Order: sequence, then C-alpha cells, then structure tokens
Amino acid sequence: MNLKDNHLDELFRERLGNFIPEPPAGVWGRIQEELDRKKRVRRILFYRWAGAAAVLFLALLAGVLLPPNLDKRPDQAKIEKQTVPQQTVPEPSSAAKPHLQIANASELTPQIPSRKPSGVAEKKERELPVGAEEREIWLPVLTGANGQKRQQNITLPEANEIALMVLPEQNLVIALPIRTEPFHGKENTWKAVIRKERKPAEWELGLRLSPAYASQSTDYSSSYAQNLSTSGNSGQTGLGGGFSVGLKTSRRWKVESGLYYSRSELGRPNNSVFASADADYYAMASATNKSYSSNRVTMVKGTMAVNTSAGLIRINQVPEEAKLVADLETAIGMNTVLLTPGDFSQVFDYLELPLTAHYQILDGKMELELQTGVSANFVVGNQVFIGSGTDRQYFGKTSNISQMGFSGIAGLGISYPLSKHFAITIEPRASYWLNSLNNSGDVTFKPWKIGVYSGLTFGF
Amino acid sequence: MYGVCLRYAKDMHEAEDNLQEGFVTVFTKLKDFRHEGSFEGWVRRIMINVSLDNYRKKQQLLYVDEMKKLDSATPDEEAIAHLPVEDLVKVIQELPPRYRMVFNLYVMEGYNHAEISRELGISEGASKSDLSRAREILRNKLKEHYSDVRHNRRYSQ
Repeated sequence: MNLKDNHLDELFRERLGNFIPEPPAGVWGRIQEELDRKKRVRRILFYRWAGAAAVLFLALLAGVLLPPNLDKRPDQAKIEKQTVPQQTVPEPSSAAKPHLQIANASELTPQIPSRKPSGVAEKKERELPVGAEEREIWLPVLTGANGQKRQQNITLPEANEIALMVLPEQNLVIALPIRTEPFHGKENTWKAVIRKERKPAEWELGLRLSPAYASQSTDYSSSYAQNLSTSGNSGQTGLGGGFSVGLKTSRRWKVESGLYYSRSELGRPNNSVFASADADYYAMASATNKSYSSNRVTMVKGTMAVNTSAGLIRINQVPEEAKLVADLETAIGMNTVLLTPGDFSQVFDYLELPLTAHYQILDGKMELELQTGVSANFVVGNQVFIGSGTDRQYFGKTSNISQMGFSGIAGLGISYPLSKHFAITIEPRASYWLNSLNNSGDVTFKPWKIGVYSGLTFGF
Repeated sequence: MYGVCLRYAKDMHEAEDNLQEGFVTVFTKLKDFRHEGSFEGWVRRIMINVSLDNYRKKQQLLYVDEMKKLDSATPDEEAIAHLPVEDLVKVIQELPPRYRMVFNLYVMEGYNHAEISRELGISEGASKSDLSRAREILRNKLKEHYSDVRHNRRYSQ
C-alpha cells in the first residue's frame, strides 16, 4: 500500500506532535547567561539614573539646609526657584523596560507546586499587596517528554530557580519557573503565576495635618542691632494643614502640589528687668508683682515701634500694665523704654503652594519616597502678642514683612495602603525660606520648619 | 519547544541555537504577550519565527537535493508507525531547507498555501509543488527506513 498524502501528513502530525524531546545540556545555562548579560546592562542604566537623582537630591538638601549668605542679592533666590523644578522632572526611561531577575524559588514557594514530603511545613504565604491579583497560567513543559524522562533530572544550572519578570508598564510581575517539578494532573505543563500588582493610582488627593517645629535664622545690620531689644529667639511648635494633589508620571515619579495653611509662632524672650542692672526700671516694675521686660521704643510714622530680630514691631495696642520709662543714660539711639509684662511672640500665618517631585525608593506594602521641591508662600497673617497663655494680649504687627516668599523643601514620605484607594501617609519635611521674610534690608529673616505632614490620601 | 525547533532545523545544533534564541526572545518580549491566545501557542509562534528568520538568512545558500531513485518496496503504515520518532525527525531534517519549511508550516502548523507563500516570500504554486516534493522525498526516505527495518529483521532471525 502506498502512503497517501493525508496518511503521510497524519503520521507525522501524530508522531511528532507528541514528541517532546529533552533539550541538550547547556542550553538553559546559555539562555540564563544571555539574560543575565542583558540584565546587567539595564542595571547599570538604572544605577546611573538613581545616582543622578541622589546627587540632585543632595544638592537641593544642601541648598536648603546650608544656605550661604550669598543671597544678599535678592535675584539669586529667584533663579534658584526657576531652575529647580525643571531639574527634578526627568524620569528613568529604563523603568519602562522589563527587567528580569532570577530569584530563589523559596521566596515564592507557595506558588510553585512541588511534591513535598507531607511532613515539611509549608512556608508562610507571602502577602500580596493590597489590590493585587494573582492568576495562574500553565506553561508548556520545556523538557521531559515521556514518563521516564520527566523523572530524570533536567540539566539546569541550579535547582529551584524561578525567573521573576517585572513588567512596569503593565504592573505585572511574572514568575517563570526555570526549573521545578511538573504539577500533578496537568500533563506537560508548568504552573506559573502571573501577579497583577496594585495599579499605582495616577492621581492622588491628600488631606494632611502638619504639626511642625518652626524657627528661623536671622542676621541684621549693625545699626539695627544697636537698638535691638532682644537678640534671642526660640522656636515653637505650630499646627497647619491642607490638601494636596499628586500626579504619578511613572511608576516611581510623582509630582505633587497643593495648598497648605500653616501658622508659625516665634517666641522672643525679652530682656528681663533685673534689680542690679536696671535699677530705675526695677523700681518702677517692682511696684507690681509682675516680671517685666524692657523694650527700647521709638516713634515710626505715628506709631510706637520696637526693634526685634524679626524686624520692627509696630505697637498697635499698648498692653495693660505697660510702663514707659526714659533711659537718659543711653546717649545713642532710642532712649525710651517700654516695660511690658511677659515676652513677645510673633505669629505668622502662611498659605503655602508647594511643588514637589517625589521619587519612590522602596515599594511593597509600605512605600518610601524622597521628596524635594519649592513652595511659594503667601503671608496672610502677621500678629504680635505679648504674654503667654490666657494672659496673651494683642500687641501689634511686624513691619516690613514680604507678602510672599519661596522656600525649599526636602523630605521623606512613607505611605501605607488601607484599601485599594486610601492610604495613610506620614511625611517628615524640612523647609527653609530661600529669601528673607523681612524686606527692609536691615534684617535678614529666614524662617525654617520641620514638620510631620500626616494624613490620608485617595488615589484613583 | 525543542521538538518544534528540531523539525525546522537541519540538525541538532541548529535546533539548539534556535531554541536558545527563541527563549531569550520569549523572556524579553513577555510584555507583548496579550493573554489572548494560549501562552504555549505564543511561545511556539516565537520558536517558529526564529526558525524561519534563520532560514531566510541562509536562503542564499539553499540548494535542492537531487531526488533519489524510487525504491520499489512499499512500506505499510503499521511498520512506519513503529519507527522511532527520532528517525521521523531525522528524515524531516534531511529535507532540503525550503521543503522542510513548507512541510512543517503546512502539515505541522496547519498553515494554508497562501499563508506559507506570505511567510516565505514564494508563490502559492511553489508552495504547493514544494509540499508535494517534500512528501515524495519523505515517502522515499521512509521506504528506505522500512527496508532497513525489514533487512535487519531478516538478519536477526
């Protein structure tokens, strides 16, 4: 009988279709080598970007924390502010490319079926990130044709290795077993798990409270210092808050803006009146049981004013129990002294409009990011009080205060997901004014603060 | 997948190279896998593409073997069905490259002649004639094997 075409075809189809030969030794090793080589190239690329980002971050941090006295020229701060945001936007193009890593299978043990002796305790299942999905796919068996062959050891470099394929664009992590035992029941297949990670929210709205410690660095001209009532100042804590809007530009980068209100209180311990040094004032003060401070005052444009390290305070309302004394022994400058009970506190209210770049350095359930940026700050409140607590009395306002200024921001962000959309965030941030809050020229006054912005974000 | 590569290659070494190239492609192109068809089908398609690519690169060097004289012996199907599968792979590998490609695509992958002509850049008529030539060669080679088997049997008795 001569073989008909369809018989011949059938014969080959049938016999060869079921033919799954064992690949020769060394193929897997070479595949892995080649993939490793590609991986190395990408790693180098990644390190390059990470290095550039780190240098940029450190440079900004240095600019913020170590402000040189160079910015006596006001233009400097403006230039800085304009260039910063452009530098912080680039994103690593390598992030978009898949990279392959070979991981030890024990990390993903529960996902790789294996014939374990029943006595061996299963490893604890690795927790999936919130919102992550997992599904299984069946990969064709790469080796092992028939019963006997499958039992044999396959020639592979190392046992129990899996390849983890990370596909940033699709938010996929794929675990491919390079070698594991075939799963029962499913002939000629390997089980692999495709993990779909939580899709990073593109937009993120946040509500935050920011308890902060605020203080300032000051510098003044010598003529101003002569009549300075007090050179001391002390930081105080204040509370602020606001909302933020963030946009994820890639898996790792986020740009955020928002609107925050914050109040900073700067305490100004006054020169206390002592019996020995200020005999005249003391005589006046001791008539009451209160402790008094002395402030040299002068008349400026129809109001009484006192010099402080934050600038000239115009006294709108002379506190109760205040006393006016003439200090005739002082030959220069202001020679009238206002005795006031208690210390000053200068209170500024700001609206802050930050623009920050965030780079995520750790992911997983908990995310950690670096933040840096600038903030445009509007001064919306400017008050001076005297005394403390319930005794506090409105005193006046600080003059020559800019309406607006810029500050540099550097910080860390930690976020922890509560559900698919909501996350708790804690963000320790330091900010430092890049220009002086006082615009008189006599006083350079740069507030800084360290705050912990904490709150809730909603991503969608 | 090694089996697929073996069918398209002229020998083991070429099959191995194709397999390696194929898997590297699988790993680096995984992001393009749309989960529409089966993963196996996708990997298989990559293996075939790699094999065809390498065939195209070598196309200039192709030549068609002269056909051997027909043997008068007629193999029966049962005897062929018992030939070792490695021998079947071997006869396919021994086909002239273009016949091998056409035969694999038509018989094993189920392509039609129009698809094959597109894939290999040949005319449909050429695809058809290549296929029948391939079958003829295979038939003859199987006959050779068949007679070998018969002779061996005779000697062993």
